[in-house]
Amino acid sequence: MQNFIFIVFCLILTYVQVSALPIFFEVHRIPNLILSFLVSIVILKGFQWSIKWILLLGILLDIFSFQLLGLNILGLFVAALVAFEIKSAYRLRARRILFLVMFEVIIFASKLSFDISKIIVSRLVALTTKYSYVYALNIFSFDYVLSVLYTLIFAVPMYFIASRFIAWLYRNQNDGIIKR
Amino acid sequence: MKILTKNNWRSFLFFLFVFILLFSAGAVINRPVRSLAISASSPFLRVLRNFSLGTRGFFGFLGSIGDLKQENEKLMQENNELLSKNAELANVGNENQLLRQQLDLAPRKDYDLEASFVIGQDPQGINNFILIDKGSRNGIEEGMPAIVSKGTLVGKVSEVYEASSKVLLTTDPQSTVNAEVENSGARGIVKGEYGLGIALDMISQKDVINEGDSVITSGLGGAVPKSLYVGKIGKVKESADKLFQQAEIVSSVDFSKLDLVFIIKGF
Repeated sequence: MQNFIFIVFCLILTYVQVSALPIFFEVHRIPNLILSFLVSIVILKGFQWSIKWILLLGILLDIFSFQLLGLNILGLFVAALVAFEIKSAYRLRARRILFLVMFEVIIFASKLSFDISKIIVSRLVALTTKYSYVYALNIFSFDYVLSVLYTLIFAVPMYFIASRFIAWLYRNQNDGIIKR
Repeated sequence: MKILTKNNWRSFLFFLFVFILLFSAGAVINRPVRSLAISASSPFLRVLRNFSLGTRGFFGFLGSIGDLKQENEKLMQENNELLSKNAELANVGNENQLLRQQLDLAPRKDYDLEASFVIGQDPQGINNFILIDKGSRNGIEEGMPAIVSKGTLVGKVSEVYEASSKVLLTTDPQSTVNAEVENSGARGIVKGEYGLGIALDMISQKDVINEGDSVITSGLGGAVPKSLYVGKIGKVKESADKLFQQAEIVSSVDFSKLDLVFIIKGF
């Protein structure tokens, strides 16, 4: 039942990303809520626990962004791994402001690694196969800077939602949300 | 810092395997998986989109309360102007019909249009496409042009599913449409540029084009009907190889705020 509710939540999040966000933001400047949510659950519950959700969110992004199947799964995997490694290396502090700074650093690194890994993989695929899809993203453009900025801003409420949602969903299980 | 632990290495190999598997199977499973997922999601996406549009409209209304009086006066003035223009055009229309009858010209055809609501866009904002709520069951086919306001071209249908379709916007770098400049007849190709820009490319150096000239579709190739409005000429420059001229196109459409488009099913 908990997994089912989690799947429904992931679906709603994808629908918001596909259908609602483009109304409020310019194309190319849309914040990545899915990435923010995934990084939040990696911080809260660990990397191994999040693997099945990386797969689900990745496939949903692949379907709705009409990109090469598997590209977003791989991108989200790299982003989640980067988030987890930074979190493990530098313990998240209890003081709210320090936690916030560290959290934003993690989101920034994850967003960059997500996009860079997708650019590299799509170019490798284009070089080695007949498939001509190239992930045309310019990470030095003003639009990209704004999309990163919006992702950083929306990551904080996303973390709050994720922590409350997981605490509510798994309240009867004592497998422990990792405390900050 | 050890980059990858043993467990994470295993996960990495697992994800790499999943990617290779999905990529290899992509040609076979891509369409059915997308078709199923998008068709099933279409009603939810539409509801969410309408709700978001309502929310945007509400906040827009709150923000514009102070300007309402001025806006109202301006609209009244515009309305009066449009009414007189409408009467004038109706007169010209009648005259045109009479002349066509006298010259034995075939009457102008109305397009067979399918009104479609936009239900989604690229979730990551990388590619310029929209998802619409009409698909093969409504007679939509690949390559059909999409317009707004009875004649402004915004894109072409690039993928069709049962209850939804993907429309590649003219702003996408992969989109190409044959077009001409209305005044001079100079021909070129409308191409999308990175961002939300459109350009008229491959214009011969001999052709004279001016800022403000209207760009319309030329109908060459038969994929898109002739005389659909694309935009106005902006800055004109030479192409990189200096063999052709290139011009920026200023469109009157806000591509990031499309709500309703019409698919031309027959022309």
